Amino acid sequence: MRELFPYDTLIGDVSIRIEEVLVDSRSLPARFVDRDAREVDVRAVESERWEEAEIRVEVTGPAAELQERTADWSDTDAVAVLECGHSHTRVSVVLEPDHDVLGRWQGSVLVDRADVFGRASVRASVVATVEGSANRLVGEAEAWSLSFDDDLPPSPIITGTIKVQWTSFKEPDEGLDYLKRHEADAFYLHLDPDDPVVYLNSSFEGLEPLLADRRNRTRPDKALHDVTRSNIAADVWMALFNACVEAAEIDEDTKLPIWPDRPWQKAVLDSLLGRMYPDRSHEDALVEALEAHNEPDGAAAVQERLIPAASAQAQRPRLLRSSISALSNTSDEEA
Amino acid sequence: MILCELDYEADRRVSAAFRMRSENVDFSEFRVPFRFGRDVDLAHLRTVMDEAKVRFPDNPAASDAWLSPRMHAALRLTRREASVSGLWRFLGLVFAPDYVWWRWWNSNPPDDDVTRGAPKKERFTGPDYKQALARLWWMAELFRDGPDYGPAAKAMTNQDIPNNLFRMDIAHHRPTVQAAIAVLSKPDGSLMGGREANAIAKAANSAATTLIVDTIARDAGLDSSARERWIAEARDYDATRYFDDLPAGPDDPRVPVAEVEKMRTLMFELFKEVPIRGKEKSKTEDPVADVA
Repeated sequence: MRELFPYDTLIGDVSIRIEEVLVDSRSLPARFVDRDAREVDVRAVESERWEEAEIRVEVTGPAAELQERTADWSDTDAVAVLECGHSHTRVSVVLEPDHDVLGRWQGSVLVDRADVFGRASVRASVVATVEGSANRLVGEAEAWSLSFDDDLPPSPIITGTIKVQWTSFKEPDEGLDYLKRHEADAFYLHLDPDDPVVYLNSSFEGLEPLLADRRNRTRPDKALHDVTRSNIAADVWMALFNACVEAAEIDEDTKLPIWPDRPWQKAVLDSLLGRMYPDRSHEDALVEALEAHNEPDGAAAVQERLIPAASAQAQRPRLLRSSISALSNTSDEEA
Repeated sequence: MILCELDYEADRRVSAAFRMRSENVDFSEFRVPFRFGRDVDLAHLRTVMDEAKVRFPDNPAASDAWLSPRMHAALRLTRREASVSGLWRFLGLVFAPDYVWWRWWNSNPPDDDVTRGAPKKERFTGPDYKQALARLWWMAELFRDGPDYGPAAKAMTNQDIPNNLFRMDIAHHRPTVQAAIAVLSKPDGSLMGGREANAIAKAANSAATTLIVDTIARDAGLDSSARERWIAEARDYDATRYFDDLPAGPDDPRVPVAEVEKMRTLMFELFKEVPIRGKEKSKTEDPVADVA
């Protein structure tokens, strides 16, 4: 809980469990509801059109603490809120308390497919009347995330941040004609805010076999594989960072950063800011990067920090070191 | 013409010369079909945009309040569809850049502006609170009260509302939105000026960190079958009949008056406490007294 509250809040945890998700009354298979990652992958059933989803939730709070609090607090309630940033949609449900178990509430959030796009969060809050003031937030659960098939699945190389897709740049797939201009390049980063993708060029001779996940590579081959992968990844991370910083702003009045809208943009900034400004909080780091970015000389300072950060994120130093070592061992053996 | 999407790559071709209307750019290589597999006819949209230019020739900014609801009724989409930035990019760069130039050309640019006031790129293609058409559509979508576009039209008379309140998560809560319009309304029916709107938006937003608006004022939400019917009715819609009267939006349930009242009460309290930048609190007339 944040430290901003001028009144007492719950010390113990509030948690939200998604019990079941019904898509047009059919239960989503359990393997698409990940309790550890707190993710629901609705994309899995999106090959068929559906109209309405019912998300059954259970919220639990610290029972003993809530029992103690009945002396000072009243009208304790729990509410579940689904929020989709892209479609500006919010659906909220006040949950039913479990009459047998204190600190447990249940209910269903109903959402229409036509009202959501890409990703939505489901949060739960516990409220109470505190010191005469109603509807005070006293506890909050960690949010769940729902994915819909308007975005594309995350990628293996860029560790789940954006998608990677092979396509021939010489004869690109439908809608990708612009790739023809980049026929001589190994990869191309397409920065659509809704749908960012790294395209890898399958018509680039030898690239696909080089980058494929394969065992039994010879040492020089593995060295080139590792170095090429990490070089592409480092370049992509740098381009991603620069694009995401463009999408952020500083609030003139509060001087706080306004993070970009898309979760992937926030994920990119989160991944790199910690490396770039290790002694700062993420909020302060973003403000510093934005202020520098907007100054004529400051922009270079940001890039200076970015290069090693992106490189580390792509594991380039480690892979380069091991590649050099492997190759020098090979040449020793050949000598 | 029917609605298409334009791929993100098109953004790179939006040159200063294009924005200054001195270069023709061919965006056709970036064009893809509308991904939801239905044909959306743009004729009504063209009708209302042309009429806006006729009605507000000397003050394009004043056309927002008139055009926002009419654009929403002319271009009937679900929220999911309207979330696709490619369609707004198509509208801003291919279908109606003329509207963008008309509405967003700055006739009094600063001396160091080399584009001489040409609209910024974000007005042609950009986030939904900046892009010229998306912002009007979404403001109508979030600020209407069911089929009643009245509150949305009113909200557009104050540019601080689309610039600030619209971007906050509390703007997704219908009782909060309707209450904000009510609180900012003056006895003569007009809306208060910029600073008050900002002040109340910030106060409500920060109050929302400790008060849960969803338990203060409940809202059953939208009705997807109402939206479907309204979209199907697009083919019988005659945009020219609603140049003076407001058209009707989707027949969603209106926000219950009692719930709006609860948020209004809260907002009056917040409003009283909030310092308004540029005015000392003691010297201001109590803004609440005028509307209480």
